Amino acid sequence: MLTDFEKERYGWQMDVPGVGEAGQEKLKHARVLISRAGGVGGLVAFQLAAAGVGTLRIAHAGNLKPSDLNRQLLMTHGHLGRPRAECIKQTLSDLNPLIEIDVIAENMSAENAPRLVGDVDVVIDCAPLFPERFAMNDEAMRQGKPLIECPMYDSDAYLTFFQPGRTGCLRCLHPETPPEWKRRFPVFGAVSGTVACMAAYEAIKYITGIGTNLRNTLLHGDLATMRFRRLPIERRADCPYCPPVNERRSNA
Amino acid sequence: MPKIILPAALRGRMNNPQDEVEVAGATVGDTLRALTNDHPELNDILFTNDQLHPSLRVFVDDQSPLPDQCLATAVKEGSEIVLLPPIAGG
Ligand SMILES: [Zn+2]
Repeated sequence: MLTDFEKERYGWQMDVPGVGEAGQEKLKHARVLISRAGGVGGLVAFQLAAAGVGTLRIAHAGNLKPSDLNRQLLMTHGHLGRPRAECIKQTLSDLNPLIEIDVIAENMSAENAPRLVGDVDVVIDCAPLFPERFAMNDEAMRQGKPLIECPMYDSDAYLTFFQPGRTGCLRCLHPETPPEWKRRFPVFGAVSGTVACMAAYEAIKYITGIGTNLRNTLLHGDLATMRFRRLPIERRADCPYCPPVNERRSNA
Repeated sequence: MPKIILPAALRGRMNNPQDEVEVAGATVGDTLRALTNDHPELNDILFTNDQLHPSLRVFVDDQSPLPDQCLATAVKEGSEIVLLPPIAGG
């Protein structure tokens, strides 16, 4: 049941056709895992907190550095040198104290992924390193959880919705770690925030059942040229990480 | 001539960045060789041991050729070849 205050707080989004009180209840009971709350994940978390997703679990290690602040909009100047996890929790709680915010001061790894993925409905991958992304992917596929991939670089934004049994996975899209990938990448917060807001809406659509998710499709947006393309992607027949197609282990 | 669309992730590696280049060729393989002839700095991202890098995604006229047939895929006047390397900025 929604409280009177919740009906008022979320009223404008409940007006979106297909949402209503039933859709808002689904958001209230949803659990979403976000891997890192940086330039992309921070904005994903901000949007999902504002929308009233009942439980946000966020994995992000380390202490806040000045070089984070151009894009990691959950972080505030006064927290420099302190754990990012503290700042993430405080900013999101200030925005929406009605939801549960579970911030873990760890980055995704093969060791912690089973525990962190275990009880969530959707996972959103916003990590800046391929080993973290692959750890998240492999566990999401193993547990049959939808995985939203939303990486960016400079003015490039990629977005796709992987759903075990219905699509491929990150290993199908990119089977190997590119050796030239570096931890530091060129980024304006306006670009990481753009792909983040689209990824957050993929999660909202999946949870509420409105719209159509980007299954078997990679959206590439180049914000420098403002060219956007929808490109077909598929499961690799020999992918060892994907469950077989038609083996529907997820709930949609 | 066919056209190759270069995302920011590849432009950033080019000595003379361009968001699209026209190249001669009848197949994807021809056009990518023409691209790396003109821009050898892209060779290591596109190819590994003379094969397409397995993590590079190539789309031809908004279709996705099978990886083992990609280089032999025919292209024509006005074809658009989109190259998307793996990125992980988050
Ligand atoms: Zn796969």
